Amino acid sequence: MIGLVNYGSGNYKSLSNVLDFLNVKHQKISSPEDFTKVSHIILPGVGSYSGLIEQLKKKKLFDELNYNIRDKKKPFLGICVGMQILSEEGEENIITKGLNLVKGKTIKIPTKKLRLPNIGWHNINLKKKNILFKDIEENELFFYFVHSFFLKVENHEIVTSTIFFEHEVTASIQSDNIFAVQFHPEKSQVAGCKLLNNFINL
Amino acid sequence: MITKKRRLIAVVLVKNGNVVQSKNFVEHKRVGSPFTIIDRLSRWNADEVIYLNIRPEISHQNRKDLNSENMNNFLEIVGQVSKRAFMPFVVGGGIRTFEDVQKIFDLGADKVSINTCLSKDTFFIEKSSKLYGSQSIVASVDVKIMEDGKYFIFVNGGKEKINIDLKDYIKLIEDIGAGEILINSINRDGSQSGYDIKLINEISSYTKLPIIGLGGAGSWDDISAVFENTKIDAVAAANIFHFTENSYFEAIKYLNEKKCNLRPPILSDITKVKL
Repeated sequence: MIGLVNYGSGNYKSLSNVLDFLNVKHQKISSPEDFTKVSHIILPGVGSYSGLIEQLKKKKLFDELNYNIRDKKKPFLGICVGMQILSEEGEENIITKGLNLVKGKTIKIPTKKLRLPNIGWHNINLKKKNILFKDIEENELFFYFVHSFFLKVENHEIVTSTIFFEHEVTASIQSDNIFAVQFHPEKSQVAGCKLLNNFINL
Repeated sequence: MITKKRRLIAVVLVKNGNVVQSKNFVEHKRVGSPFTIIDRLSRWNADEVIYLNIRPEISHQNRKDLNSENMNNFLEIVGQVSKRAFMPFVVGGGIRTFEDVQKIFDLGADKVSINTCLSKDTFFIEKSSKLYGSQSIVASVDVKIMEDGKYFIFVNGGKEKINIDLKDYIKLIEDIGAGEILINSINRDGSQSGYDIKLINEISSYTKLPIIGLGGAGSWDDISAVFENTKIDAVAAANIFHFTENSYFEAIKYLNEKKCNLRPPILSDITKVKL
């Protein structure tokens, strides 16, 4: 069973719509007990780093989420801000401690000319072969991005793809059971559906 | 290497529950159902889709009246469409309160487009921008050239002229937290005579916000002319996509030949991805 973390806002509905369309059984995770019912965890994210951490703590999901990823090793997919909060800390609004599951910090994209947020489709650069991108053709490697911040990782070995926005920006990572994407697969048509399928089939 | 692509956006005009073609904001011809067109746009891999309710006032005359059927029907359309819109999905028309914005996001839309209230009640727009992020607010600006050749801003479906200088209006849009500007030329709407490139460039010079140009597409060349002669991120069109089979796909193919830096044309059968 796929678990979809629901913390009140974010793109929960869009993601649940896509999973319905793909005939994937899924259920809401809105209390700590819900984690016991799921094999895979997806954390959709829209909003700010500090806002998401605050919501997870308020709903008592923060520690349980950490435990299920770190100790139970359940396959995890973080989307957008759901990727960013894997880091040690984020600087959006106020410095906030994250889940600390990936070494690195979430910082604002250092741009001089280009205006933030970065909104639009990017042709991602695949850095290495990764199960998440299985069966996605070369000419399909376009994903929809909406963000101003990104996860700057310490260990570049875990980066599976990047984009270029005046600066190299992490687009996706994998470290063991932890998968994360800065873009929105739920808004990236066929490529996004294939990516979600690949995660679900893990 | 820049990895970002420019966008071609399909606008779907909805009036009383039907998809219509529009001319000068006044004449409307019914062309189809809002439920089927989203599947075609999916198949054509549309970069982004905007659904606009162009005559929402029927529901707003009696907001407290339970018979506000038009808006309810439109929201029903939004809910159904968002279940199949696996691309960025923008909704506009008749959004006047924070509750309207909330409802639309709860139904699964990604952005709201706001027009009339930019000149009236801006508090709820600021509040929405803070909560959902500026990227989720599109400011829609309808502009008309009057006899003396000057640009004027109109709201309320092109029926009400407001007396604010274009430059000041764009500044106001930035201040209230919008993340994008959709410019529509009332004179060019449905005219098939090309986009108002001068207007687009004038507004670009006032702001760094991403701009979407709309109004006047009569050929794929009209669209490529905007990409070639402006620096804007996205061009939108409505009527032209109803004329021919595979229209959006053909447009993307043409714009790729012209090297406008869009995604490549792909016909996709999203149903094949199902498990």
